[in-house]
Amino acid sequence: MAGDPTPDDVLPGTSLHGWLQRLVSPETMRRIVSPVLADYQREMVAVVSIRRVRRTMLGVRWAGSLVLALVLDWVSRPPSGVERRQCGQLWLRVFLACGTVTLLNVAAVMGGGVALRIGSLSAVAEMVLYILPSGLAIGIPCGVLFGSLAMAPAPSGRRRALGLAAVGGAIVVLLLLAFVVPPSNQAYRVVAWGALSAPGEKPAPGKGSREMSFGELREAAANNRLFAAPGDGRRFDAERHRRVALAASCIALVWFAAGLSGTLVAKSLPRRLAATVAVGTVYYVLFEVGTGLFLLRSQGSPAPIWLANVVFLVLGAIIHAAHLRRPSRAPLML
Amino acid sequence: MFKAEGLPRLSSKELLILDLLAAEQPRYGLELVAQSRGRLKRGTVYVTLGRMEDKGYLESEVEEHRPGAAGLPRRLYRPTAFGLRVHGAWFLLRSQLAWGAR
Repeated sequence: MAGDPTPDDVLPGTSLHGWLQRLVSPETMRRIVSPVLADYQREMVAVVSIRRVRRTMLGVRWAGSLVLALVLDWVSRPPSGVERRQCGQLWLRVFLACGTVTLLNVAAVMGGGVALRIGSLSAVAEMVLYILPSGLAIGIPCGVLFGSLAMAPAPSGRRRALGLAAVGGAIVVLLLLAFVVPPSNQAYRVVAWGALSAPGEKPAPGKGSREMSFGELREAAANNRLFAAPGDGRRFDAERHRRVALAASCIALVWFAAGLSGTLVAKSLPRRLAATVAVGTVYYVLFEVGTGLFLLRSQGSPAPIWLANVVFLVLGAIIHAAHLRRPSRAPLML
Repeated sequence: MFKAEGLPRLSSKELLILDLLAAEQPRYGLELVAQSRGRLKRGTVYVTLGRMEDKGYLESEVEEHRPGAAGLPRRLYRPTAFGLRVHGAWFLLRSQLAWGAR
């Protein structure tokens, strides 16, 4: 019929509508055929939409149930009170080590007489608050490393706790580095600049690479590739990859430490502490060397930034494989 | 036997449709079937609606085709002023007959 809009090609009834237009009178089309087909097509569309929503809801429900089951399993799994206590000790060690390293970081940044020169307690308190997230981003990998090293390997409850520490730590660090650290670093710079410079002096410094969000880093890298020296854009690319690599360090370090704690390190806590400092230092050096290698070249993949993670993952795999080859040994981590 | 020549006629289905349409906004065919709780059938409602249009009780229009909406536009039905008067008259007759029967 002339007045009818063209029906949607994918819906059933469309061809029928076309055929009937040739066979049936316009009046019958108007009164019967078009209303019937329109109502049924709409009903079908509504049903399909509802099904799609229900399918999505079902997926979400299944995924949620699975996660809940896993969480319940994690929470309830340690079969004995002893294991539960040991898992509690793991978390306690993670938090203590994380807190210690964070405070050390804050103290290191605030050192060099900055706090003394500022003199204003409120400005110092504000600066400490702003620098805490970046300290925490380094403190968390150190915390999970120490917690894993300080934990005797093995039964399933403890292995699950280690896995949770690794993945949870990585997610938290990535979120911190993506959303919290850049603005808080910039706020720190502004407060420090205001407190240290005389009124009316130069304006506060602009954002450096560590103060930029992921989007700003990507934009800056693209601009520098176009308008500045070829190597300049690499700093921004490096910072992007460093953030992700640092988050992934939680997984690499826990994987490595879980193997090491079962085979090499003696039981005493001081030795484990020493092992933590040694492993952390080696990781840091490799991380910086990898970044340096990346910045040396004007082109190429970001693989060098991942050097430290790759090294520790490979070393961890070797230790775990060696452990599994021995008879009557349970897996350390898997 | 008295035969009401020229008087508008209203079947039980038509009365039901007018009942449903008099109270609310315009409706489409399947909506009326759903509202009737089984008293109207999917197979006959469109014929009944067409007949009521012929009698002048209802008028219809094609709904506006919204961008992104799938399928043919539905035909919406609403009572005419004449249809509402007939419905009112039948309602009055029904109540009078019910009063007379007491």
